[in-house]
Amino acid sequence: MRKDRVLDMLDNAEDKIVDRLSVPALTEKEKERLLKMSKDKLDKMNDNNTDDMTEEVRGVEKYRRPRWSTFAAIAAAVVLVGGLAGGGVLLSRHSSNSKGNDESVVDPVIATQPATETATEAASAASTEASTAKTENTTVAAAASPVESTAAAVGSNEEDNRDHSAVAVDLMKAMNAIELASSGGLTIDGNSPLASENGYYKVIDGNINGFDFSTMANVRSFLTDNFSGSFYDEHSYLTEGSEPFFKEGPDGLYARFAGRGNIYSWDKYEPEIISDSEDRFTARAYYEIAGSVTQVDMTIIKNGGKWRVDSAVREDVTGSEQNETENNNSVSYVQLCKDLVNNKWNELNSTEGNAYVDVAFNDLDGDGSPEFLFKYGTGEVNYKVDVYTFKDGSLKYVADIHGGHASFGIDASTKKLVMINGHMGSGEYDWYTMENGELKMLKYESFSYEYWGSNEQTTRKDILYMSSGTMFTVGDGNAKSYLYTQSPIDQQPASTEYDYYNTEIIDLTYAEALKSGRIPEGD
Amino acid sequence: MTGNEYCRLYAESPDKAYEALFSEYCDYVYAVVYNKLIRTAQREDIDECVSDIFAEFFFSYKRNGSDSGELKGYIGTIAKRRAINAYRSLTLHSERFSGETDEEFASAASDMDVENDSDKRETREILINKINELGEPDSTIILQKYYYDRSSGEIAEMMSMKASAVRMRAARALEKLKKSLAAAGIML
Repeated sequence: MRKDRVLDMLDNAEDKIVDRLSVPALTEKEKERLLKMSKDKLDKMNDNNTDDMTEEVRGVEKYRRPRWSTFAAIAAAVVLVGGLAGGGVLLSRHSSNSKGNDESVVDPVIATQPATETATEAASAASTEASTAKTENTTVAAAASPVESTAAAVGSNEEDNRDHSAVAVDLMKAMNAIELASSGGLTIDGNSPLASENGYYKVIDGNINGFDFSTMANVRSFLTDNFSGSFYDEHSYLTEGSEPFFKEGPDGLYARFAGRGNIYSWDKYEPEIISDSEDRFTARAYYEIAGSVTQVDMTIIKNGGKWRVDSAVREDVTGSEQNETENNNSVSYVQLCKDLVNNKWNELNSTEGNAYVDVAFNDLDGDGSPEFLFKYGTGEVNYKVDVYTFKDGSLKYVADIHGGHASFGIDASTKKLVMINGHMGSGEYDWYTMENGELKMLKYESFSYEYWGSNEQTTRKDILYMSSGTMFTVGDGNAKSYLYTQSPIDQQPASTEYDYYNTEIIDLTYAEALKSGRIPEGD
Repeated sequence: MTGNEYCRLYAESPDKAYEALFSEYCDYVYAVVYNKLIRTAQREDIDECVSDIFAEFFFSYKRNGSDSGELKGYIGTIAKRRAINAYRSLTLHSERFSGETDEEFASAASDMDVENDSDKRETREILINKINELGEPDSTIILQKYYYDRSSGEIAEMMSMKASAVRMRAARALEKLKKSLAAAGIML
């Protein structure tokens, strides 16, 4: 979390204050990502319920569970189930809404015959299960294990001597199942709320990927069978506390709509064992949600002959998998630039005071690795720009440019550096490039102006300010430097910045910065 | 958006209704969740919570076609409840927030009980009024920058402005706000 949330006293505010905090706080891309996340989540829940259920029938409706394109119909369908179970009152109302989704919802009348049979069986099974739940306590452990899992074959008193990878895979499946169960994966009857407490609905299908979460005893056995230590604690909210996710009702298990986000959402079960001992090992695996890749290190320990997930440490590693070498270089590149700036800043302040620094990146030689442009000094007259290139893991000094009364600009067509000089009504544009490791001024052009204004625009629309940013003092007295670069699109200066010293963004690798648009690409 | 408008859109296309709902209330729901969770949660937790809220609305809202009222109250209630649940769930396990101390947790927990904290409530009221007095776009920019912690570039994108202009306005507005609050006896 960043430290400069000046207005953090507004946290945990009253409703009327929160109303007034409702301003655009997300970019369009972020909103799109959130929307996609929501849709993906429901698709996933839907897929999970679809397995082995293509002919599933609830009440008198048969559902072909589609992808997001008809996600809305799915949500409606769950409500519809309740309506029908409650006497069919909602049938006509919802079926009219469903007509626009002919592919996803079969006409209720057509589905009536087969539905009745299955519904009866299901009701009978549910009834039997509810009535015998207490007597089944000693055997529910098996019921809470995946039917086809090899783990299920290991009795509670037997030593589990399977390969660690196989153990990890089974436990990952368990992690995924409980996440799905607690993030909306259960089929619950929206029209059968728990009378004694708001927010709980009757679980009408507790099967998640072969794990049976249809009774409280099963859920508890599942947790104690598969998890221990802090990982068990992380999931204790499911059954414990004043508002647990699951609650026993008079006629079976009830649950909230969703407990938390679907965290351990593995796309594949391919754990890598990164440390190993007789009774403890660590498995590493990755999952991806909405483009974000999370690395999970699971500590799995053996206790009483049985393996359980004891802890799991998550780390966002988005973008770091594909090109490790590039990122390593990028990290060192950014770090070298940062060190250079820090050292010069300290040097100037200690010797002369009034230090000024300004930085930019521009791919002057067109090799795909931008040069580092470092402007510094103690006054407009002595500002200079040192140009560095990154070669063989180090910064190489190339040349310097006069930087007094000058700003970094970019040619909108070539995307290369143009120094914008201006003072007392006259100015000059200097176009630069790099060839064979040498900096060259391609051309220059003089101009005059009456008033430079707010420094927002140049006199030529094809010359844009590329960067700005300087060391300055902020409210808390700490010096900060911001680097920002400007999109080289004429009149569309969507620039971004990052705090060079104090925030998490400082850890962005160069590749990540490029990817996120924080540094414009050279094309 | 009223319930009836939502139902009409839903009848036309459930996708369209969902997206319209999201577009209409995303900022509001995000504000509710961010306000409750920012001290304890990661951004991904906040995002998850927000996406869950819209899904829950979709699931639980009864489209009976006779709801002429705004949906803001309904979705706001879901948002508050889920944010508080998420807060409780997250704070149950301090190991997830190793960067925070027990004291900070205690402080955050006590902040939830706003009824017992009239001083803070009064300060917040004055602060938000002073922010509003800055006028637009400064009042929005200052919240985006110093409450939501967005960069000038991101704000520029949201506000269709230049980042340099955002930076300048934010700095000036903050100074103005500080002076205004100082006059009211509040130091930022």
